[in-house]
Amino acid sequence: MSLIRDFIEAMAPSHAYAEEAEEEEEAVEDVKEGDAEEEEEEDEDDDDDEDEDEAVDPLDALKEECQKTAECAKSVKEFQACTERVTKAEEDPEYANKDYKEDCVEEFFHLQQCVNKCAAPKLFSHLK
Amino acid sequence: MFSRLGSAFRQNARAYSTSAKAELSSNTKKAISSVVGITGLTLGYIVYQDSQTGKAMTAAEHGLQAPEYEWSHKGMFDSFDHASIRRGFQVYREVCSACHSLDRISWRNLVGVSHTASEAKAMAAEFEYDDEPDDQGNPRKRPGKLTDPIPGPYANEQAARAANGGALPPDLSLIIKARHGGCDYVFSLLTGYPEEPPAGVQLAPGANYNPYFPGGSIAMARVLFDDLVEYEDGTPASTSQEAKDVVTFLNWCSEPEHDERKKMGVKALLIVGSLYLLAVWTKKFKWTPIKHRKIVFNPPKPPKRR
Amino acid sequence: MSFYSTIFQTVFKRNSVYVGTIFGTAFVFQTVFDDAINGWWETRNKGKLWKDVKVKLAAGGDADDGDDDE
Repeated sequence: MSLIRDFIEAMAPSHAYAEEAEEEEEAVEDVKEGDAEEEEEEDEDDDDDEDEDEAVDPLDALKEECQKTAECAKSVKEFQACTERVTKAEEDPEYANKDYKEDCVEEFFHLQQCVNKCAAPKLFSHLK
Repeated sequence: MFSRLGSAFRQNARAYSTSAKAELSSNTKKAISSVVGITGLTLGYIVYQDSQTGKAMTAAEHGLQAPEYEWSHKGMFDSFDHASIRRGFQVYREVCSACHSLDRISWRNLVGVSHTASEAKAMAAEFEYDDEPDDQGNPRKRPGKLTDPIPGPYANEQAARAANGGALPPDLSLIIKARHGGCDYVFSLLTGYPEEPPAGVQLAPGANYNPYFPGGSIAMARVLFDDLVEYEDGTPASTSQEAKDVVTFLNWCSEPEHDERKKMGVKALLIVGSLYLLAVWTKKFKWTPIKHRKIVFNPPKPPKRR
Repeated sequence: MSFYSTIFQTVFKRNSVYVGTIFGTAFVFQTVFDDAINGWWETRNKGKLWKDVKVKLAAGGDADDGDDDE
């Protein structure tokens, strides 16, 4: 399918990439930031800028968003339940001698798979 | 002398074969068949016992499957994003190169891909390389040239292991080709370090947890953080942005022919495609009269009987 | 004279002309074809190629390395 899509896109290179729109948005944001700083203080302009940029990594933001979706809610719940269970088991003084020690890798994987499925297709439109 | 030896051997062989033939009819035959039978039964038993226990790998041992990302060079006719390669080299140079070498890339390879010739020359000149010895045979050093390979952080493998607690940081020149999942895997690995490992996971001292690494326990700690580098083009340096850029750069290292290859692919498809159509047309052209002919058999009229 | 006979008279009649035509056409076709594909490739991947990046660098970066080599 993607091959055919590529072909069609190739034949009609009128496809507009989102770059221009993004640039506009950035420009708008810059203006806003600039305004805000001018209103507040002009001493630590650069530092403020960096802090605001650094605030959110788009990947982290997307992952957090995805954890709240209905599909991933079940995985989140299971992972939390497992974490509680295992932490409780670890508090047991006999824990070191137990034959079977549970870990939450499987639950963690299920959760990550769900989050990735939701976040991965969106991520690169947020990056340059 | 040799002929005598040969004849002796022949005689011996004959004696052996005749004796075997003689004895085969007796108990030896039974002995052989029983040995064969016992061996067969034993092997069968071992195979059966082995089949009773399965040794499947756990999910953790396989590693978490990396998701597919929308790389700008993913499509059939998409070139690398060279601005990203340039940023990625910056990330490699400022972060990765502390531990990882890039043996197969020379400074000259960057020229016309991510840097201008003078930029590459300036970067090469920051490093010292072995020069030819002077007249007394003493070793000399000289500043790097475009033709020099990008130097690695360690002199040899032993030094690299000693500096990293026994773990060898792999050379990154071909890393995208050398790992299942390629770009997606390396990107996921770089960005996939959780805050803390899932409960119950036991890690060796010095090891870090990463779900994408098969086994989950990796010697490399998380290295990419927000605003670790400062991009010259003003791109916000989030962790995922840095990872994306460095993976694009490493993909270029693995496949420097990538852009040219895809462009050549378009040409090949067009030419071969039209040649195919031409071949079909020629075949039809040549075969039409043969396919469309009509063979009529007009039998001679039988002579009339009277 | 019909179209086919014109072509026959001008191209196919003499072997030297015929071979020369093949070589000439191949040469011209290669140039035209390469240029066409290059043009298409560069419009399709506009902004990602090194030549675009270089222009941006020269414009955006400081003028200390405004060189034109490669």
